[in-house]
Amino acid sequence: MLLASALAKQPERAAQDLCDLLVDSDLAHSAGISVLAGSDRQRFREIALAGAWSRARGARSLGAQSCHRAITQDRPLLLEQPGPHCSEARGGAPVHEALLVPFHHGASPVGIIWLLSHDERRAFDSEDLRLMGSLSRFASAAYRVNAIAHVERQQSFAQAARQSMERQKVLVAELQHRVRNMLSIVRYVFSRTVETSADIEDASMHFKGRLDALARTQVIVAQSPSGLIDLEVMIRDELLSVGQGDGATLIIDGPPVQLDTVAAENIGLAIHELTMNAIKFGALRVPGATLDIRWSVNMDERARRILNLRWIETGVPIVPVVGQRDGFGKELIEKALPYRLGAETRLDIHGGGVRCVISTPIETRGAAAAMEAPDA
Amino acid sequence: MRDRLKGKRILVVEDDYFIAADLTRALQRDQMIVIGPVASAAEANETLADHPPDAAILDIELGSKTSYRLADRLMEKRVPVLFVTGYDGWHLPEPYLSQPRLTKPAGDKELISALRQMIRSGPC
Repeated sequence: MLLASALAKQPERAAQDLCDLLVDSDLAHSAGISVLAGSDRQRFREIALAGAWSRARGARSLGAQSCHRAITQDRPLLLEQPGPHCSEARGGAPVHEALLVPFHHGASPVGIIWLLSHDERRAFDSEDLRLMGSLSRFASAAYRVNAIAHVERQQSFAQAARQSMERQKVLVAELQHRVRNMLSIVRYVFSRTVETSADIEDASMHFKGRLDALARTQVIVAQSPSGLIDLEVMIRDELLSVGQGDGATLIIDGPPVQLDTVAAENIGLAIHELTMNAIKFGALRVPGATLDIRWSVNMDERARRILNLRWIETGVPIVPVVGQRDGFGKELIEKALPYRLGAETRLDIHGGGVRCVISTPIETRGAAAAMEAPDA
Repeated sequence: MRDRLKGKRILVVEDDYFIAADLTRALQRDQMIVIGPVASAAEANETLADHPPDAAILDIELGSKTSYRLADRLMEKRVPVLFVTGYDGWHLPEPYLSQPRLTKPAGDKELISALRQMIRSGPC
């Protein structure tokens, strides 16, 4: 039999093939298979539909109430002019007669194979009933295949949803962690800025500058899929933010170096402090002075990669050091970088300009590694 | 009223310089003695013999490591431990869920009152 071989070849399509066959052979105007979708026997899920109903706009299932009756009585049910609970469902295809035949999995009825006639020319009789009785075996087979596939789909969907939620949870936690750390940093930068500034305008200007420097780093981090930041891009961004590009008096040069977020935040702030100082007192203010920013990467005796960054100003006459109030940059370079990054730093302010050397290990630290963890 | 925190030795373990410096200033303002701050559990362990603390403030995440081992060691010595973290509570492993905990950024008042409570109830 055609249906049996179709069932063997493509079991997942068997239910639909069965309904198509019923309609194509003029047994009914519409045909469908609904299976129980809950232990209460009130809800049904349609696994196949063919004929006039399937073509109607917004095709709907056979009334659950009728299916419920056939299932609980566990016998075929013929409904003539089945009334509103059946006819409400379909646009433009009123139901003249409905024949509902339960089918089984093991001993229990698990679904309904149903036929509809939409006008009086087709009335169901005992011959139809007999035929449907034998076809319900195929419906049972189709049900088994469909039920297994459905459960598998549900399981894999649930699994994917769970994994996605887990991953989301990790990412949100990581984000919260970063935001809270950043707020803590901002808090300290603010109180130090207020303490080391001459007046409120001075404090406001310095604080905005530092906040902007932190923000620039965050923007570069966000744009980098790896979460790593290119040192040269970061330095150029900082200098461009105050209108300085390369030229005869400004040299920026070194091999490509990628920094993780923590190193970038700290070194970025240091570059900002040096830049602001150079604009106020140093090489970016005095005509004819030069600023030379260069870096190299070497291995140390413990086989760690060490970034050596030099910021050297020349041609700056001795600047009277006014008050030395603003110790934030000095604290950052001399204390924060060694503490946070394990860097060795030197900051000399002498005749000719500022000279700053930062040597810091650049292994991938926790932050970047933690963001990659969910994929591992 | 005599402040029970005055002169207490507080170990500060926090890998971010700014946060460590902020904690240090808050503690010193209330006349506590800061041990550290140090950025890693290893450095903290080195201080324990010579500078036994009255209480410890531990950042949970120290770079790619955590401070749980250090917390265990301190708790064995009956040193009260205050965790400071940027993560929410669910992130904490079971044994530490009942430890006092501050979420960053913590205000000075919260910090001091958490310490006051610990040192009151703590075994000193």
